[in-house]
Amino acid sequence: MKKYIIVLITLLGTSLAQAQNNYRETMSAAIAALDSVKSKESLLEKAALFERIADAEPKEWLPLYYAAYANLYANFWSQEEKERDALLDNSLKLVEKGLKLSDNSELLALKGYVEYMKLSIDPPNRLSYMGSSQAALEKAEKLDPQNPRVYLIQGQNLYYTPAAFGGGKEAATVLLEKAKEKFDTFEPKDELAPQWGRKELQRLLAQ
Amino acid sequence: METKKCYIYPLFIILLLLLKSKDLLGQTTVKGVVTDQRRRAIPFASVSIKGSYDGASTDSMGRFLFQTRQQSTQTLLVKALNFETDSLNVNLNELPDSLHIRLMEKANMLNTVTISAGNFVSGIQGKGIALNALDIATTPGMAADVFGAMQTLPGAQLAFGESGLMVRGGAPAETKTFIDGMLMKNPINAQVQGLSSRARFSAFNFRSTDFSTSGYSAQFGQALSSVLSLQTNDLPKKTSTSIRLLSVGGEVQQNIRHNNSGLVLTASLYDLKPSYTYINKSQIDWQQHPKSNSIGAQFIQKTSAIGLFKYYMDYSDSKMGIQNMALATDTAINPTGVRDDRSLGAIAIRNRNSYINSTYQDMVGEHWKLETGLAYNYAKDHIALPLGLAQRIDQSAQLRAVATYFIGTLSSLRFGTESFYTHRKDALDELFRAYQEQLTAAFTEADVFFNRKMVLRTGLRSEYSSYLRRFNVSPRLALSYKLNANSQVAANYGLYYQNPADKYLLLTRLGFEAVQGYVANYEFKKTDYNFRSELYYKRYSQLVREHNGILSNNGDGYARGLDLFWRDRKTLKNAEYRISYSFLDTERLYMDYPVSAVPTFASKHTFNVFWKKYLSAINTQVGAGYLFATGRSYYNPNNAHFLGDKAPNYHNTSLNANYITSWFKQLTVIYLNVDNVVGNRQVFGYQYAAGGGERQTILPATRRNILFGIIVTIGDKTFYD
Repeated sequence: MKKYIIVLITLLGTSLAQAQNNYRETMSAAIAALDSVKSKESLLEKAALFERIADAEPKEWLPLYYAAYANLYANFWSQEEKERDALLDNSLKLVEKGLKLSDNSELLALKGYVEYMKLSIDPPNRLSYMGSSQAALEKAEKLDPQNPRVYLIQGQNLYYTPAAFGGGKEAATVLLEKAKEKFDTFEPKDELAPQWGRKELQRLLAQ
Repeated sequence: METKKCYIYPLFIILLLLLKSKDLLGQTTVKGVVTDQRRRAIPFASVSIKGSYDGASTDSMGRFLFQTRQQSTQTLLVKALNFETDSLNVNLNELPDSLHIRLMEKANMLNTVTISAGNFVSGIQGKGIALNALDIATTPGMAADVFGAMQTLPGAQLAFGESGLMVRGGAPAETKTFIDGMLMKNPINAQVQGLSSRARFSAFNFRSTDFSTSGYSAQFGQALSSVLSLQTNDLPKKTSTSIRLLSVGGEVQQNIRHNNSGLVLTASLYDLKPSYTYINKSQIDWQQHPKSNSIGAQFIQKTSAIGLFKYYMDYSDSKMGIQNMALATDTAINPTGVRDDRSLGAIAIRNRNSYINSTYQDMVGEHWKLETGLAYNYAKDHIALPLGLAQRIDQSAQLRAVATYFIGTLSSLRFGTESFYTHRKDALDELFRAYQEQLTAAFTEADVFFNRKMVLRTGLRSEYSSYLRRFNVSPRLALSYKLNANSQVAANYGLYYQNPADKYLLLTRLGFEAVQGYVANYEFKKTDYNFRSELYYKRYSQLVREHNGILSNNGDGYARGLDLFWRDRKTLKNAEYRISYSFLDTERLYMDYPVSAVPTFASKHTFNVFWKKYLSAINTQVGAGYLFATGRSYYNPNNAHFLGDKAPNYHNTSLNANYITSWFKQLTVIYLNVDNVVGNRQVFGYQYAAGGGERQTILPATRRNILFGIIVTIGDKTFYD
């Protein structure tokens, strides 16, 4: 009898729990799935999921962060300028929305990344993104000097900037090495916190 | 025990079944399709139940399917890139088999009609015909002058010894310059007759320029021909220092950025003496080479997401003087339009100018935007004339408030009022004349988007002048219709008023001068191509006439023409070119013209072409420009036909190169500009002595002009803002 009641309560309990949003579980599953996506379609699907979570959890900045991240990565799968612009604009919009909730190093670093990508679509006419990208990254560094992604993105941006504009491989390497150092000691605050970047770093350093 | 067990067991089963059935009942399948208004599938749209994680993305056919445990009436959120987000209430218990959701395309530059006739917006990314600050600084042949760069746009005339902008048959005084909506009455440095002077501000201080060749908004008034509206930069992005050194002078700019505020300090010094002495041979006999110093400061405070307070001030001191222009100084025998009130045959002039401008804008509630402004200008000229020393003091103040009500995402309604105070005093030795004026204006303007294809702008402006003791009412009307994704047609009508020139108002009270303008425009715009053509007709009336020593408003005139513009950023690899052509047919009877004639500031045909290419191998942008204008009329007392003589045609070929490099890790641009490369003799016109015997040729300051400079930005990798 007692056994049945326990089973009953457990069943009822899980059923009720399912009806509620399970933020941490859904998030960590979605973040884990991000690693394996290999197409624009699935990235956009993930982006949509994160946006849905963001809409349902208006106080959390992480869903916005990952939604922006997925939009940014979707842009790499597109050849069409118009579409890339739309994806990056959306990404930037999500980052800005996140910054309103929490003015933190991760969001600012991502902002610096997205803005640099905006610049790269049409550099002669978009040089003003250079300044705002730099400003975002500098602030990101100030807020958390231990964040390895700040140096990774700074280095990456420099890597793709012509030497005449103060970029180039040499200038980039200094920052990428610094990113590597920071990654070695980096401990994510929790399982949902951004952890990406090691792969990107290795690829850049190998080039 | 057995019975109990028997009793409980089925109960458990029932409960379990209930739970399970609740699951079955509660798990609703939501499916459907998302399309645009024309039933074309939208892939990657996100459909979700608001407040839950339940949802899905649409596939390539626009289809979606997901399950939810939510019950009864819920809000379905539908989002897609480039479309307006839609939300609709659905009852999950009575869901149709398939939902059809139609989204509205988001309004953007590509799919929405714009109010464009007569407007050249530049500086804002991706909009229209963009000349950013560096474009302005490096327009071949224009020596980094804002007005110079604008003169290369269709509808504007090249300055042949005049200063400022002459638009569609209009005199320089018919174009007014506004900074953040506030009038800048004296935008040009000290001027001497027959020689162009520079704008007193630098292109780098402005985020965007809006050059309206006709049909400008009812927000502005007191300009018969054109409005140049400049927007100062918003918060500097970073703390940085810019140094711009030119062979004619230099500027230093310090940007200081705090979290929500910024300070921009600028100091500049221009002196043409070294350039005219060592680099270029000047054709003018200078008593004082053009020289100007200025300091400026701008403070910007962000008060909220939209809220912005700006305070701008500058002071400048400029001077120039010419040796022995005996012919030019006898103004009485020179009735041509060259004689404008800033130059009354001066030999030497020194101008000191202080300008303060303070503006504030913010949203009040969700739909109202409020903009207010306050400006003050004090200008003092000391002029050495052959007959004595003259002094001119020009004071003006402006107060302005505008409220805009936004209706939906596109339409708006605007109301505003402003008041200008002017005090002008001209003195010659002990004698002086002065007048004081308070001009008060109210205006309203509505931008009505019937849909994304058609927009109507209607405006009404009314002014009262205390000195003229007169009212005016000027209606404005502009209609644009989008033909397809890349092209639109537009037309506008407007009535514009302006006070007569100060030199006349000092003598007597007169009426407003007026012009009625009609414009028809066709525009084709694609990412890399831009074509526009504009036909216009202007009817001048009530122009001030000086006849037999009596001043009246009996003058009139007309201007009609065609402006064409073509820009192509694609056909030539890594290069872009733009071509503009203006045809102008104009005559007027005004000032001391005895009969109606083609004024001296109008070329029938103006043509220019600019090309630039970025050579990435050497980090250099090279450019070339060719400017052509048919010769203008000049006054020859020996010719019975008034203003019947024409100067030779004007040709100017110029080359420039900007080399981008990094010095001590700071972004550096080195540039070189050669104006009139071939060195042909350019003649603007002639001036005759009384009786028509002797004449003097009006020439540009130099025959060939070489200008070079360097721009270094410290602490920032951009110099475009």
